[in-house]
Amino acid sequence: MFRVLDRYFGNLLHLFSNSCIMKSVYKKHTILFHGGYAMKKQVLISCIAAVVCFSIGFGSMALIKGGSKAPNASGDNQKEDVVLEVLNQTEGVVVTARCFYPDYAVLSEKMMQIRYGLENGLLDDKALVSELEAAKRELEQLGYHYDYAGKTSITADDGTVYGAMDRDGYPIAGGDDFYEIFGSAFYDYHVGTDDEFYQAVLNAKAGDMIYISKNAVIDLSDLQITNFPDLKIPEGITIMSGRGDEGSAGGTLKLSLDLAKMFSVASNVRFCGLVLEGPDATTHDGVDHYAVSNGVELTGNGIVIENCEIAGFSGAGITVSAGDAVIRNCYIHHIRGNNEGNAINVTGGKATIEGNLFSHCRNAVSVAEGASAEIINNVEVGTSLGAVVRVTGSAESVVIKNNTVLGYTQPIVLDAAPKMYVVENNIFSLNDAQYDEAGLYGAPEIRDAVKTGAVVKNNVFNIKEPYLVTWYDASSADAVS
Amino acid sequence: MKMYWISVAAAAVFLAVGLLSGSAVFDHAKNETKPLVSGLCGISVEEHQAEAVDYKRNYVPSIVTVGGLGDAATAEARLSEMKQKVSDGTFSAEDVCKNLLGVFTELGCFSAYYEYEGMLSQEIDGVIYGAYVAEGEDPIGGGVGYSDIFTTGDYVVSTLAELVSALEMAQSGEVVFIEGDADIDVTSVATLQLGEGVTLASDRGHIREDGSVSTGARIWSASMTTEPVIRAGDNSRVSGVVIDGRNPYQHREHHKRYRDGDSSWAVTSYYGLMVTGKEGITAGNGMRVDNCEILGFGHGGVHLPVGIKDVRVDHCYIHHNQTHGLGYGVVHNHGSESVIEYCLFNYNRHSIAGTGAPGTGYIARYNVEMGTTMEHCFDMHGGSDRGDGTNIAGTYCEMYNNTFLFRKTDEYVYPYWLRGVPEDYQTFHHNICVERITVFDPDRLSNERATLNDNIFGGELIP
Repeated sequence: MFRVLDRYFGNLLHLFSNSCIMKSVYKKHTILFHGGYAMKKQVLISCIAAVVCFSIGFGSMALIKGGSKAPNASGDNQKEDVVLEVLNQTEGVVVTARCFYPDYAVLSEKMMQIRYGLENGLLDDKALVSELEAAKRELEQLGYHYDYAGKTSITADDGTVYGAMDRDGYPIAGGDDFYEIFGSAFYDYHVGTDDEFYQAVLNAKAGDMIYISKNAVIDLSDLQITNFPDLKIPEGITIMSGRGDEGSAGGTLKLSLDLAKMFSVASNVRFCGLVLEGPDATTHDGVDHYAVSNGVELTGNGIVIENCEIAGFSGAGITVSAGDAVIRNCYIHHIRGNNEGNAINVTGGKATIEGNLFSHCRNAVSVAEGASAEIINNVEVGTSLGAVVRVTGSAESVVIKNNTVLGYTQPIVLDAAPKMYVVENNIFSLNDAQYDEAGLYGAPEIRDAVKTGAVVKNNVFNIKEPYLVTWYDASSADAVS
Repeated sequence: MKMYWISVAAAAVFLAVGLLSGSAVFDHAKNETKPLVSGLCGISVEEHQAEAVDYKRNYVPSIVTVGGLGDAATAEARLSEMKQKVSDGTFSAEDVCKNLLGVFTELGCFSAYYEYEGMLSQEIDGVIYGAYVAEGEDPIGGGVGYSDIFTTGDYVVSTLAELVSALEMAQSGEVVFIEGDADIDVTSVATLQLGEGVTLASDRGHIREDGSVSTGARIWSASMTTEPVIRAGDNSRVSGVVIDGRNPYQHREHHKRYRDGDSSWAVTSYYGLMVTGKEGITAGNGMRVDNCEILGFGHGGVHLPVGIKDVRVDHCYIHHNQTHGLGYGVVHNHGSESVIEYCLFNYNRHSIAGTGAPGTGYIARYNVEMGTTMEHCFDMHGGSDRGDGTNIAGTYCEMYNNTFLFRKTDEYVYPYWLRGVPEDYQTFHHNICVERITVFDPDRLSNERATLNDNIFGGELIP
């Protein structure tokens, strides 16, 4: 019997060693096992036996608990690719929004087709509802949000939460459940035109509140060109509107022309419940030179942007260039110009980005050299053209926790190594092998530098049959540099 | 032997731990990728399949447009409401049809066009009033059914670099064809030079093999200058192209600040906003612009500079040129002349305008005003506008067999508005205006050299 065990485990070990040799990503394990096999064959056999038994036990448990197929614990990533398709094709979702960018030709044809179907008796009520929902989706373009709205997190038996979830008073994307909704009331300034807005901004003192009428669309382009090319929102004022109030999308500050920037923002300014709309939701694919439009630039400390919709800039929706800012519970979408298109561009200072819904951006967040970003509890609906988070330079700190990346979007691209790189408890829809590894962990030439400050652990891959992946934890005592 | 027992014992312990731990994470190795079993449950998604429908047909739009300027938020709200009411059983198929047309109209900014489609002209005693085309003729506004759609040329291009290069090389008589699905941003070059006798074309209205309809290549510019997108040479032609100035807005507040001075902001010049002075095509003598969609220009979609003659603008859809104080579909500078026919106009401040200087004149016929206009649709300035001390409003102006679908929403909304006396004549006959004639000031409609006769106003024939 023992000879049989010996032969069995010995063969297993041999196979395991070979598989390790063949896979360069496991080379350190290979070295370990080669040395061990030469010196203490019996001990290694014990270990292998233990691993096999553990796998059997664990796999059985997984089947019992979740009914899901146990992935290959040896880490060879030979799982079938995750294939996602929107399964909920008829039930709508609610995202408070004012800006929509449908493909006009597709949508208009859809509506006329429905009309034709009705006029010719080809649609019953059920089919009609289904078709109207299809038309609505062409307008909304919310990707995999139709399947996963409100279901973007997994809670493990030990209470650990993976992915993003609505928090009490702080729903992802904001809207009518946001903790503070502004209806009609008295404010220091109540504005509805560009003239009134500029007057209010120029006269407001720290602590003042400027309320934008719920239905107002204030185009800032003209006065910016003629009078205020470099408007800065002064310190300590609040600009708000009624996003979420009785179905309102909130008042809108708009750039209708392709201007470089809407305005910059000083310390302790708060934006709440309004829409920041740009002039250009197109991708400019294949075009290197075009008029890049940007939204707001945050240059001070203590700036908060919350419960807002931000859309339609080809450059960046929000640029954080200095200080610290919190951007939370916003719906940020259609910011996707070629070589630009960063919903939030952190070029300096520190940004906390929390509870936002991203859709149709090139990159949801870009972090440059010297900047810091905490990206927590956000959802990307699977429509980014680039990466959800792109690190373009040696950032001070990039923390990515409890986010959910739906669809086929690459979650992270590291063009450079951040000094501190924490990626933890996120949900990434696909198998780890389906993503660009060099994007997630850095290309080989920067991999060691990435590891220096990396805690990349306990991220869930495969939204259908989830499993955890820990890549590296520099804070651990047994981390090998 | 002892070692084997240790092995087995260890295996048993691990087996038990594995079974009991369930979702416990096993990994403590920190160096490389190591997927681990976790026992986490996947997120379940309820499957709701769309109903199978089988009514696909090739949809052929009667107005070919790149669209996209309508209020999408309202459209979304109306679609949601429709869906809800059909689910509740409170909306009939007829209600949905009507509402869908409303959303379609809202998104496309078609105003009253579809309400009156098929009724744009009327025949009384063998005489036709309003805009019409004889059977088999090219449709008003061009697009599908237009008989002279280009599908190729001497140069076939799809990028800005190719386009600029081809235009530099093209000789009189040659065609530079832009592929129908091209979307060319010319901001960086500001102005395309179209040589004498050269045709710039795309395939607006062409039905592709898959049944889809080409809107024509789009040339657009976001430059903040007054430079035209196309500066055309004599006898050149632009056909089947979309030309978009990306400024479809009225800029009313800017105009008010400049004109009324009721703001604390000092606006030194109306042209402080350079984009208000921008043009789509600056025409040359003998030029033709046909089967094009032209939109979003602060000054004019097509501008005829001083003294330019024999321009023809036909079968185009010209809209959203409506910057307050300017905003013209086709605009004539001093002494220029044109024929404008079979066009669709909407959302212009004036669809056709002229400075009214001596020698200026145009013929406008078989056109449709779709229903939204900031002020009077057809214009000819008078001497007081030019400040030249005369009362001259152009040399001639003929307006016949046009259809005006607007309602009088503003005191300045008219089919045309006399601002002086033409040197030779002005005529307005055999047109249809859905508004009653009594809502207009008669002094604005006729004078000693301007006649108004044989038109239908508000459904009534006015001799």
